[in-house]
Amino acid sequence: MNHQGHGLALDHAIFRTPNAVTFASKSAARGKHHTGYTSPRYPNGMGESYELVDFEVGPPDGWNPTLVSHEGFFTDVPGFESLAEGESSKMLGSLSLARQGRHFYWGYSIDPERLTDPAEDTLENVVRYMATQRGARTTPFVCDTRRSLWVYLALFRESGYRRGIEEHFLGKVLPESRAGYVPTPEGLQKWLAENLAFVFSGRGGRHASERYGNTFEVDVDAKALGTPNAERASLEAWLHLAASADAAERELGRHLLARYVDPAIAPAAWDAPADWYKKWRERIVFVDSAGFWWLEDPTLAPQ
Amino acid sequence: MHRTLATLTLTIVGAFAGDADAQAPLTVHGVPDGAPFRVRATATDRELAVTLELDPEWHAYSRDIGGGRPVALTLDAGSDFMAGGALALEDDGQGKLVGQVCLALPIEREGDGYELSATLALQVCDALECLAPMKLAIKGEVSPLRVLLVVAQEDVRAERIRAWFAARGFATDVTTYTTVDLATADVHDVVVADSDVFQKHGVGMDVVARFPRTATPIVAVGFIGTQLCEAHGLAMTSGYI
Repeated sequence: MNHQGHGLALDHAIFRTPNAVTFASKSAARGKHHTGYTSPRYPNGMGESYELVDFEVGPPDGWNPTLVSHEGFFTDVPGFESLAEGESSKMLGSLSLARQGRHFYWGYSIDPERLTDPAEDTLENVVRYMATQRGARTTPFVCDTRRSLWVYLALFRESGYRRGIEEHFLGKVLPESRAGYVPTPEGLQKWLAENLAFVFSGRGGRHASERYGNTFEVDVDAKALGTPNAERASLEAWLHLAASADAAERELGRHLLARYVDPAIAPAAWDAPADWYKKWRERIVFVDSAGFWWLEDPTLAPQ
Repeated sequence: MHRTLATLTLTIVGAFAGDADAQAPLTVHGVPDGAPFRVRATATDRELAVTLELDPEWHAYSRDIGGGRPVALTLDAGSDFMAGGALALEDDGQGKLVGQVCLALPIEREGDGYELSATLALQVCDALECLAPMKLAIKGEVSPLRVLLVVAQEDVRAERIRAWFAARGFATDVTTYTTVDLATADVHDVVVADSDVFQKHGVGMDVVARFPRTATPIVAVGFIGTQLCEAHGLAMTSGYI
């Protein structure tokens, strides 16, 4: 990432108070690596041009790797704030200013001699804003999100990179979950369409990988039911099954609830699923990166 | 409802805030017993924020509309702070202040100390009567935010950064990645973890991995920042390439 930024969340406090920050910008033409993608700062995609601003007076003396949020890599983390993107050749969605819980990521290596005037004002605002975040909670990182599987296809489309499809995908997905997978762009596209909504990870053991961090498994139970694991309607369907008079249905529902409801908020037994849901329905979120759990929304005050 | 830009941003800050420890609570003197309103005041060294909460059917005035005296928030002579901009507030679009109202006054420190002394002048009315105009005294100490700057080594670069924070009104202590500890970090309002660019930052990743898990918010900079966030178990570094 270089010294520039774009897609600034100018209505956020870090650009408004106490310093009202004004950046001079210059238009740049959308690049190939921007085209066809969305990101937290460009939820509807980028227009034909975009506005670049300088945070540092010139390119840094050296290079910095890029933090990316490819089309919502971890935007399901409650309270996560993506506030500016860095100018990166990788892809739309490079983080340069972001907050998660009590941590703020300032992607520009700070040296006062290098900061532009508006960047100095922004940095002061950031420090003052963060002073109000003591006690802010977030979710712990457990595993990559399912979007990391989609990225193999995106990288091929962007640059022709095939190794993700032909090699990394195989290491990232359990063998039984990729039976019949054809290691081509078309094969991956087909696999994603059929399975991405049903993958999960983060349970240790078979989901652990020394090389890849974590591996993914397709939930055959959720897939057979047609219940994508991150959807509220699916949770409600499992709760309904868990209360069924039919023993097999009841067992399946409870099995899925045990798989996806964070043990920290799950009941000791799923004997009264409706009561549990009445208590928790307004306080839970599903987060891939926290381990594919329905868990308590950390942005809410603890009960 | 009419909202000025400044009050809107104040609202945004409030919506995301955790514990607002960094805002010093101030005392408010002069509110009559049984008054149909309450007043709270806090401040940082850049902003005096006053919350006026009026009982139902009571109102104050944001401007002269031929009713009561409009509110005015001013810094007193002898205060270590002076006004740095116009008062921002929100009214009902008709010049009346109703319900809970936030008044935000940009301030700048001008004295040697940190004593803030201000006056809120207002008059409250209902449909049939107005109470006598009154002046409320707002007082307290407004300390600068305490920043702990964590650097690779205490060199000229670190001194430039420390001086920059001081010029911006922060009370700044400096330590290094190898010596920073939890207790020291947590007595500050914000920790700023500095980083030079990749391969020039001069800090081992094993050292970064031991960075204390603070209650104090952290501004994590550049490449070390990515490693620090990852070490602290944040998802936002899961897309690192």
